[in-house]
Amino acid sequence: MAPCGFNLDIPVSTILFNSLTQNPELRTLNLIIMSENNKSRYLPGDPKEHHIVSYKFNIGIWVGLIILTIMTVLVSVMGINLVAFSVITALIIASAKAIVVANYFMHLKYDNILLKILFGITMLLFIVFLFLTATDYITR
Amino acid sequence: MANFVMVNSGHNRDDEADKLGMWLFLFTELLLFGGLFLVYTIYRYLNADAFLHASYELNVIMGTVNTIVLLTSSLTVAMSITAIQKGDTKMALTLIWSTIAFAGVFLVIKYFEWTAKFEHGLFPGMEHYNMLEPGEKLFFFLYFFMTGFHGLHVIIGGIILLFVIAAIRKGETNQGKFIFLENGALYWHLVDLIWIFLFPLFYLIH
Amino acid sequence: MSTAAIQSKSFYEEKKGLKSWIFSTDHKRIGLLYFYSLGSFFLVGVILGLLMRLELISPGETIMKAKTYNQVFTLHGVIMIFLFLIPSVPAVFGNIFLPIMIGTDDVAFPKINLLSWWLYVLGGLFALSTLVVGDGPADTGWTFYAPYSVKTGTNVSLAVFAAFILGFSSILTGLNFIVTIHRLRHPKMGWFKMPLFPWALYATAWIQVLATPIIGITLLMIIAERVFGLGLFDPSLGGDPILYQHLFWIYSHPAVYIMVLPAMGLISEMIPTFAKRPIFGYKAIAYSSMAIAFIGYFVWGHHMFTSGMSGPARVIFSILTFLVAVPSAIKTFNWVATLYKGSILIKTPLLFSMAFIFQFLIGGLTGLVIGALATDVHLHDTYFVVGHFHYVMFGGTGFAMFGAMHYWYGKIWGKMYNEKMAQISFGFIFVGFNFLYFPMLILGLMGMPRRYYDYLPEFTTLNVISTVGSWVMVLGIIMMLTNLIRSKKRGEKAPKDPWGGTTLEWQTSSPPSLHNFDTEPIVPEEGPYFHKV
Repeated sequence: MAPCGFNLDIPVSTILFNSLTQNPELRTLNLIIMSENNKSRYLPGDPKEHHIVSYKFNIGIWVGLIILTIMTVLVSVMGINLVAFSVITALIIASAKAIVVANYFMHLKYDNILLKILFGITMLLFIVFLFLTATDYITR
Repeated sequence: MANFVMVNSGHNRDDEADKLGMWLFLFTELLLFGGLFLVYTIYRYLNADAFLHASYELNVIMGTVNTIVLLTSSLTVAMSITAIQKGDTKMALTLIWSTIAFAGVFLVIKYFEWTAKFEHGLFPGMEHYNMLEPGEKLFFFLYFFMTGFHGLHVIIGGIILLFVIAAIRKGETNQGKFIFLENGALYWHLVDLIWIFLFPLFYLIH
Repeated sequence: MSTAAIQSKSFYEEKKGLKSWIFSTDHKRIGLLYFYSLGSFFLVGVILGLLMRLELISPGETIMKAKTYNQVFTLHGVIMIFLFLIPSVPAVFGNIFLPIMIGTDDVAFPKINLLSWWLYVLGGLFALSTLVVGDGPADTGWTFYAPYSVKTGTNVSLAVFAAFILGFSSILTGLNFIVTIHRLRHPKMGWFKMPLFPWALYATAWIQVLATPIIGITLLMIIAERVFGLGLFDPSLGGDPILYQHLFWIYSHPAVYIMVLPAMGLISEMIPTFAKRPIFGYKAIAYSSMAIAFIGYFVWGHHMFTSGMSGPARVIFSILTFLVAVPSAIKTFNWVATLYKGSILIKTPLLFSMAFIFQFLIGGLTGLVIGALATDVHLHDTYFVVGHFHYVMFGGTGFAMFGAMHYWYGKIWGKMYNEKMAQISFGFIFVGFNFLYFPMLILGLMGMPRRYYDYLPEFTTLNVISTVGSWVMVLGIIMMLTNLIRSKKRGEKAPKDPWGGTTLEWQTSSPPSLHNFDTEPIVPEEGPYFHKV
C-alpha cells in the first residue's frame, strides 16, 4: 500500500489507490486499510524512534520515588514543631517526585519537546491562578 | 474523485497526534484538580490551625502505604510498555493485570480509611462533623471531596486499562502499535501524579 | 467545464437519512448539526430576551412577576452563553471550515468530534429540563453566585450540571482543533501560511482546554454543597463566597475570549476578501490572537471590584485588564488599515464586518470604562454593564456569525442568497441593535441597576426606545433567516469562488465533496491573502 510519505513515487499503488477511491464505501475501506497497515505518520520534531526504557531503569526510578516518599514522611513526623518548614519540604519533595514521574514514567524526556513545553505552560498557568487569587487573600 | 493521496488526512494513523490529544486531556484533568488545590490552599491559609488540628485525624500509615502502592502500580504499567516494545505480550499483560490489582489494593485501603472516618461521624452531614468548628469542616469536606474524586479517577483508570488488555488480547495493540497502551498508562500515571500532591497536603501537614 | 465533468458528489449526497447525520463523523455534517441545534437555542434565547424587554417597557409589573423575571434572565444568560456563544463560531464554522482551510479532509479525532456534539445536545436538554422539573429554572443569574445558588429552591443543580456537560463538549472541541492544527496542516502550509481564522481557532482552543476545567470542578462543588446541604462557600459555615467568584471568573473571563476571538478570526477572513487586498499586519493579527488568549487568563478579578476583594488585588487586576486592550486594538487598526485604498466590494458579509468593527469598538471602549477601578465602582451592576457586554457579544460575535453565514452561504449550501434582501435585513438588524443597546449605556450612567423587573419612572423613555429597538432587530433577524431559507431553494447555483477569496476553501466545489478536495489543494507560496489584481 501507499506509504504515507509526501512524495508518492510508486505508480502501482497510485493506480490501486485511485481505483479504490472511485467508490466512497471502498474509499473508507481503503482508509481503514491504510491506517491498519501503514506506519504512523511522521512529522519533523517527532521522536525518530521509540525509546525503550529498560526494566532495570524503571525499577531504579521506582526505588528513587520510594526513598523520596519515606523522606517526606520522616520530615513530617520528626519536624512537628517546624510547621512551615515541613510544608515547604513536603511540597518540594512532591514536586521532585512529580517531575520524575512525568519525565521517566510518562516518557516526557523522550517525547516531542512540544509536550514538555505545553506541560510547563499548564503548570505555570496554574501557579499564576494560585498566585493572583492569593494576592487577594494575603493583602486583605 | 480524489486523484491524489492526502498525506495529511485525518483518517491516517498518527500515534503522535493521539498522544498529543491524550496529553491535552491530561492537562484538563490536572487543572480540574488544580481548582481543588486552589480552594485547599486558600482555606488552609485562612484556617491554618483548624487544618493542622483536623489533619491529625488522618492515618499517616495508611496514607503512606497507599502512596507506595500507587507508585508501584505506576512502575508496573510503565514496565508493561517496555514489555510490549520488546514483543513480550504475555509479560505486558501480567504487568497490566498487576497494575489493576494494585488499584484494587489502593481502593480497599481507602475503603477502610473512609469507614473509620464514618464511624467517627466525620463525613459531611454526620453528627460529629456538625459539631466541628468551621475550619475543620472545610478540611473534611475537602478531604472527602478530593480523595473521593481521586478514587473515581482510580476506577476510571482501571477501566481504561481493562480495555487496553482487551485490545492486546485481540492483537489490535501490539509491538508495532501500542499507542493505546501508552495513553492508558499516561492516564494511570496522572492518577499517581495527583496522589503525590494529595498525600503530603492532607496527611503530612503536621 | 472539464473540472465540472469529473466533479464528485457533494457531502450531502454521499448518504441520506437521519442516521447518516446524527451518527456522522464528517466534520461538515457535524458543523451543520451544531448550526441547526445552536440556531434553535439562539431563537429560544431571543424570545426570552424579547419577553424581558417587554416586561421593561413600563415601570412596575408588566407581564411577569419578579421571580419569573429572575428565572427568565437566568435562562436567557445560560442559553445565550453556554449554549450559543461559547460553542458558536468554533463548533459551527470552525468545524466546517478549519479542516478545509488547512487543506485536510477531517479533524484529527472525528469520533470525538461527534461525541462533543452529543454532549452538547445532552447539556442542552438538561438546561431545558429545568423548565419543567421541580421549582422551575434557576433564578441566580448565569453566574450561579454562592451562597444564594446553594440556598435557592429552584433547579440550580440541574442547570449547573448542564453547564458542566457543556464544558466537556467545549473541551473536546478545543482538544480536537489543537491536534488538528498541529498535525494535519497541508505539508506546504507552515504556521505563518495558515489563514487567520484557524489562528483564531487555535488561540481559542487553548482557552477551551485550559480554562474550562476550573469551572467544571467549581460547578461540581456547588452540586456537592447542594446535595450534602453544606457551605463550602457559605460564610456562616466558614466558607468564603468570594472564593467562588474567583473560581467562577478564572474560567468565565477567558470564556469571553472563547466567544469573541473566533469571531475576530471571521472578520480577518472577510475584510481582505472584500477589500481585495492582502490583510494588513498578518503576523500582528496572528500574534495578537495568542496574546489575547494568554493575557485573558490574568484579568478575571475585574468582575469582582465591588465584591469585597482586597484593595491591592483590585488595583493589580485593573492594570492587567488594560493590557488586553492592546492586542484588541492592534486587530482593529489592522482591519481598518486593510480597507484603506482597497477596491472594496460592498456585499452583506462586509456590511456585517463593518458593523462588527463599529460595535466592537463601542463594546471595547466601554469595557475600558468598567475595567478602570474607579469608574467601575460607580457603574458596577448597572445597565452600563449590560449594554457593554451585549455590544461585545452580540454586536461582535453575533454580527460576525451573521456575516459568516452570508460569506460562506454558497460554500455550505451550494446556492447564493439574495443580496438585496440580505442588505435590507442587515439594515434592520443594525439599526434595531443600536436602538436596543445604546440606551442601556445611558441608563446605566443614570444609575439604573441591572437584574430588576422594575425601575423608577424617570427611566421610562429610554426603556421604551430600547424595547422598540428589540422589535426592529428581531424583525431584521426574521427577514434575514427567511431570505437565507428561501435562497436555499430559489438561489442561483454558487460558483467555487463567488467573492474572489484566496484561502483554500474557495478551491473546492460548493458544497465540497466528502473528502473536501477533489484535486490537490494549492497552498499559495506568498501567504493566505495574496490577491492577484
